[in-house]
Amino acid sequence: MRKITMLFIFAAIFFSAGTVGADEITLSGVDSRMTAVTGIVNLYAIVTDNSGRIVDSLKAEDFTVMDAPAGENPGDLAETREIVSFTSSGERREGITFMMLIDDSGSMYGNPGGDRAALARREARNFLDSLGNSMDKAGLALFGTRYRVLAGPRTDRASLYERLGLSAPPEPEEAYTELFASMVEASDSLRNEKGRRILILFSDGENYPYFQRSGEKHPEYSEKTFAADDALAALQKEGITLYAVRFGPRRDEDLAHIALSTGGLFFDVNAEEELSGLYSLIRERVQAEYRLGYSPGLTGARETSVMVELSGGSSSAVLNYPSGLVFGEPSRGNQALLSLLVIPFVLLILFILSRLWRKKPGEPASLERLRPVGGGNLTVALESGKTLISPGIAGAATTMTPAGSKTDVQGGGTLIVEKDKDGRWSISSDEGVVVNNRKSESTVLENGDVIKAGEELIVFDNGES
Amino acid sequence: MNESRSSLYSLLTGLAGGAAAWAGIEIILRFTPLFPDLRTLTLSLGAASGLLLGAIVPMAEGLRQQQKQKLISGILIGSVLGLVFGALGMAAGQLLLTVLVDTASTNLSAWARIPGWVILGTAVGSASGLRSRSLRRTAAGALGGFIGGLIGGVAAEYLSSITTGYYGRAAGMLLWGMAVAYLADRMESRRGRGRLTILNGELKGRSFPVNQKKLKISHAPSADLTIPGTDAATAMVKLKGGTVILEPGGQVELNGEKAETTELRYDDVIKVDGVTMIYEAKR
Repeated sequence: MRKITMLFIFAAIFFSAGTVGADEITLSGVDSRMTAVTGIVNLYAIVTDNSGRIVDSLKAEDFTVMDAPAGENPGDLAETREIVSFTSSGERREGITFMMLIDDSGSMYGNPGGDRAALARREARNFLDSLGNSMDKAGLALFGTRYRVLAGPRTDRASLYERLGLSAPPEPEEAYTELFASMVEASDSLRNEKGRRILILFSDGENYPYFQRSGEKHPEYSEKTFAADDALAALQKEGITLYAVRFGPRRDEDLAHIALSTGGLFFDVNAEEELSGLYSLIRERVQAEYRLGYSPGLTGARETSVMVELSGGSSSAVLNYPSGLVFGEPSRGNQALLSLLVIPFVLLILFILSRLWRKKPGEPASLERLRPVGGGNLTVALESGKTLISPGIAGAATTMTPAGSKTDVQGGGTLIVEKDKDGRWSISSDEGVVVNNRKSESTVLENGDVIKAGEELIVFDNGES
Repeated sequence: MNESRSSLYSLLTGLAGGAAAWAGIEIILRFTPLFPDLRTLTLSLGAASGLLLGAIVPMAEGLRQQQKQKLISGILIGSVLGLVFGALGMAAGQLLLTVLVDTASTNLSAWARIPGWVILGTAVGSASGLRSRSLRRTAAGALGGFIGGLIGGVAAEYLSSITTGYYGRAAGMLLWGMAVAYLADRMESRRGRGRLTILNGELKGRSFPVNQKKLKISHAPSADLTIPGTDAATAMVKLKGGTVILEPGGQVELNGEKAETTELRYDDVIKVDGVTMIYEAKR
């Protein structure tokens, strides 16, 4: 009865000026999609007088906006925020996008006294009639087991009328009621629409998910079952307001909660005549909204509660909206300050890099294999005696050993590096040597000279920096 | 210095840059309520993380060459690029987060940052090329930074999603920094026609890709490859069509003889005022 009364009150809506003192405010939507660019969150509010009539003469100064992190007592933490833009009731220049989401499950067909499916379509047509030639867009989607968009949001009414005519009872597999999943999908369908977006739902039943009820995997959602919270989160995130019309005996208590939490309304209709003009009333209500752009406070909380109060505190309304930061929530306590401890770590890395592989003066002369093939030592320090380089053959490693050592293998092609009486290092071989790509019998080595030994290159280092 | 040693420089500067950027982000987030609006906060987060990453990652080249001037110019150019593109990248990420992603019911919010990581990675990756005024290097570095930003961003967000925000951000930033620095360096190297590896003196073992149209080798700090010493000797290595040309100026030897303008071949040994280097052509 109470719900019918509510319906009656809204049926009596018409535009009228009113006094602030006895007025009541309802927050019907929050749009924070462009906050990162504009720095503004748009709030949509409807003000009615004590007779339920729309109050359309208020100014920005008649409103106070406060926000705080959403939680158990956001009111205790709420701070007043600046209203930076204001659009009066009924003065919106851009169109509104409506998406009509119609239950097409099995229970909508074959009802005594006429199909509810036919009833829903008739009301949808009436709604399109009420849009007239306005800039408003309308879209149409059906749902049962699956969500189907019959027509995306558009201003062309003719194609919508045409598609509303297509109707047939679903096959048993398609007759389930994916109520919450379809609301998530409808949010997605409205995602790219600019401005104010409204979802109008007509359903006769409760959520009756395919996977849960049939035990079979859903053709699109597999084992996922959507809950009321999923639907609410999707709508809130997009700033979409839900107006839900439930027709019939079965009740889904979550539906009312979702509609009211998004700033919309819930209509529990028991008789066909109660439907008359309902969709038009929704439209009029949306057109009567004030738009308040406010600069939100920054808390880092994933969700923010925003409260709008009429001057004098006569009435207030609260809605939550997602407000996550791109880097996530701030750390707790002194964790942030602890992160400064990485600065010495950073400096240490840079210091190490500045010292890494720096040649130290006073190192002994040496030979180093540049691109080693196979195993063996990579570097050998040159001693006062001879050092023998045995080039590797057919992929074997080149070896570098002091003459007279156990591994000394002297044969044809062996290169001999030794220091002459003037203290200069030279290289020779009975088959000639190739240093810096030039062949000779022997040559005095200079720092950095490149010696060819079979397939390998060996670099001579005289130990000077 | 072989390529793996060279890569260590980029990996470690990436690690240091990621760590510094993480600390910057944590400090800014700590003071979130002091910011006037979300736009300012987002731009500040992006600018700070970009500035720190951009300043540190391009230091790799200066450190490799032990060149103070290169170090400073790398820091300056990287800082400016990081600041601007970090701010833009994060603004894009925040916008995507608020426009496209459902923060309340899913973990997808983290993935909204990835375009931001990619934009910032591209900017940081291009810093060394811009410093050397080489379009070829800039493009290669930017591509490497783009891929690094994408891979690092995905890895970082995955880590963030399985840990708490604080530690997830830390792990993510370190990974991201390393991925961008390493891949930008690798891509610059891959785009080269070969490498010059120094065989003696202070820079012994350091290896530099021949990846720009004109690579100037001299003692001047402004040279692309600055070698120790004070002599006026200069060598220019140029990419012409599919060939690599050496143009000597002053006391330059090629394979033990006075060098003339000539095409470089695999394993040619070049000596510029006593500094010996070997050219290893890309095969």
